[in-house]
Amino acid sequence: MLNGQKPVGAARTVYSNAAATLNLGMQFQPVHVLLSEYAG
Amino acid sequence: MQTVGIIGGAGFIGSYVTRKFLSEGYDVRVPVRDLTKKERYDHLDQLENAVYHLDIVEMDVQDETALRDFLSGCDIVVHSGTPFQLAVEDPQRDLLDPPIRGTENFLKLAGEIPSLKKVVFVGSVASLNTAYPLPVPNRPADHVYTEADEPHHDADDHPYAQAKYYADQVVRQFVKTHPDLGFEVVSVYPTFVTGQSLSGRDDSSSMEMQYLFKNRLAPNPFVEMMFAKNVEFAMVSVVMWPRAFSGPRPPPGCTAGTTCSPTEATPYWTSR
Repeated sequence: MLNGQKPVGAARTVYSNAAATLNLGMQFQPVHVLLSEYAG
Repeated sequence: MQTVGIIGGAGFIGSYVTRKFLSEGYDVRVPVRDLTKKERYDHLDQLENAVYHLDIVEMDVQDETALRDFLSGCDIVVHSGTPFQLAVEDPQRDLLDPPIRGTENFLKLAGEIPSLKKVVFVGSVASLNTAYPLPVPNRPADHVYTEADEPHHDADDHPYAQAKYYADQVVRQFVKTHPDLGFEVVSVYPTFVTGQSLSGRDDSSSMEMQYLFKNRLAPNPFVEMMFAKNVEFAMVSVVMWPRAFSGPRPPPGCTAGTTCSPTEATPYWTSR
């Protein structure tokens, strides 16, 4: 994560992106990858 | 060579969309309200392929003639042009009417463009749930929201969210009543988008939210509400505030880290 710490709470999906993956062929990166790149 | 028009193509999300289409070899048109305000769009000129394939056009999207000219010849149009705006004087005039009328007008004109094959609306999760970032009332706490859920609307929710809901309903209704449309309509509903700004501008909603988080500020009613309602938020790891949304939260009217008494006297979205 941006501050190098693990999240305090457990993560869960609230709004699903499954339809975008299926219908649009989109690939999503895990947010920790993006945050690490951004913070780096 | 296909042409894509990107309404809002110089904004936070739109700039990434513009970059992607340019890199894929499309001819890209981006409207801006004022060509003299070069600082609002000159980051696009630096993008790969921009020199020969990017056309910046001065246009007011509410000007029907100008919008028709803009759309003419486009194969694809991405509509990412509705700003995220929370503080308004008149919710109906400033928040509800523009996106609804704008969407109706846009679709009417789009239907007249023979070259158009696809329209993509960059909407908002608020179109699916006007209570966002709170869950839909009476749904199980662990409910996973999908396209199968009927969009939730409550007239007491934030007018911004309602505007998104109604604009999306306009699109859904248009698709239903135009079964022989010559183009495909795709709507995407981002929940919260943030990160690095391609423009370097700091006046987008995403950058404003980053500023609030990084500086531990809850100055507007929407952010206060997130704190006051103990919203569990995906972005738990904000720079300098690791427990921003998972630890103690400031109530309305307080900045982060202070201890004030919560007040629910006014709707959370009312400007103060």
